[in-house]
Amino acid sequence: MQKLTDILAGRALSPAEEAILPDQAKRTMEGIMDHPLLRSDARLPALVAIDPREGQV
Amino acid sequence: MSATLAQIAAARLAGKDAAARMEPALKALAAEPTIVSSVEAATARAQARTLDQLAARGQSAGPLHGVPLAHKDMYDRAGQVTGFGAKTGAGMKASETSTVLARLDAAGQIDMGRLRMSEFAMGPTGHNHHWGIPRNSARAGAISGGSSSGSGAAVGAGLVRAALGSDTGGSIRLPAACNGVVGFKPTQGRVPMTGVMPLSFSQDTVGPLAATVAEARLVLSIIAGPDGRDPICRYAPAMRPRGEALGKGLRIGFASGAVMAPASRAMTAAMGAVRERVSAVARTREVGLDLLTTLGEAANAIAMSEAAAVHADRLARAPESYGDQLRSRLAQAVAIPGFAYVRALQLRSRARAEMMRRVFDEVDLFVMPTLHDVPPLAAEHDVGGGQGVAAMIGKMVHFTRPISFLGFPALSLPVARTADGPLSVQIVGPDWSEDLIADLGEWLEAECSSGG
Repeated sequence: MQKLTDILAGRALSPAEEAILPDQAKRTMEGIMDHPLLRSDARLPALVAIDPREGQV
Repeated sequence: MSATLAQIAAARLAGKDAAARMEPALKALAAEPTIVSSVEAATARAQARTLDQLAARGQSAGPLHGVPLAHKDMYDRAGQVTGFGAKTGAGMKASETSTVLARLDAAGQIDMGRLRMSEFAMGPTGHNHHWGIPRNSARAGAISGGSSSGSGAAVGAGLVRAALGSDTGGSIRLPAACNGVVGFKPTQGRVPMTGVMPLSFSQDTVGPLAATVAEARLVLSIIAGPDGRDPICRYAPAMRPRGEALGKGLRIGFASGAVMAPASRAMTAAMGAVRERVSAVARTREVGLDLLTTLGEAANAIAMSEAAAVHADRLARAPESYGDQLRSRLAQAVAIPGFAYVRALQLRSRARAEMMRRVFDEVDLFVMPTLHDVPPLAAEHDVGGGQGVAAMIGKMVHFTRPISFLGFPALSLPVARTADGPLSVQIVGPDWSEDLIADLGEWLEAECSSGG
């Protein structure tokens, strides 16, 4: 299963595929991690709803 | 093939001639290699003979008695190879028949063959690295839309009246819109996925593409309902196989605000014309759907993470068996961490609640474009596996992917035919609102065809 291990370790990406990852990470940050619905909902687990940048912890 | 499913079934039953009349349909399929991946003549002939014997005894198999159909190449049939739109030799021989095909068989269909699709159902344009792109008879040189590309092209070309597709981000509605036909994506959990190729188990749905809304509704009503095997398929009131007149007090919303920004001038005009028609039978109002524009990344993170789980072993063993674009997309899924996937699931649940509170408290259904414009030309969307893929996919699925993410049902139907191809809108409702959606769809379809 060496090849599957390579995929999990991110070693199976071509240089062109690797070059896309920063953009993908940026989109994940904006579209999921920083989504207002998650940031504002108190019924979600606290660590999801609390943003340390807002001085809440 | 201009008679409806019901008319074909009635004729077959009266004439006991399903076997003879199927031969031209098989021949027509065989002549369309860009649309059809395999013609299953032996299975079709055996089914037709059985149906003729039944008819000779005065019995009907059901509402599809003797109706020739063909379906996307991702539904198992015992003894046949399911091809998945993959390269030659990458398919799998099935030992059991999928629930959806078994239900259509029981209703009397003749299953003539398998239709082209995007590789492993991933890709909204219909491009397939191994098999090219199906012919679009609604606009020469245009994409067929994906991933149910062959299903849309086959119905659009008149080869069959209906064909099953699947929809995880728009894969029924986009090819329907591109080929000027109807596509009906059910509520997530309405139709069992047993024996169906998985892509993203929490967003996958199976539904029909058809020549008319009534036929799409009929086929969906036949395949719907739990089978006791698919744990995601849920119990819900059964669908009506036929339409009813629209009731009084219907409230219909029309998409407005930032979500409409990508819509072309022609599409905006078509939406305005639809609203004017619908105003005759319902109270209409604009609804703000800007939330939908913020859900793309979460939908993508869920879909790609679940798809990578399906494909990880094959990708490790035989990466060369995938086309460039698909291999890149799957490989990049490794960079979506588990915590982003979990937050995307949390976001879905919050977004569904928000839609129920802000939108479906105010309107029963809403209307928005399926595609931003007429079907685009194929050459404009051939970006391979490079940097432009995410942007190209994002634009194609702008109006469809958020609805799949939320799990709501949606019906796409053409509302205008221009010199550059059809313009289609989708009618969207809350979970289990397929009957009402189809009632409005049938009414709107009749209005658009009569020019009234």
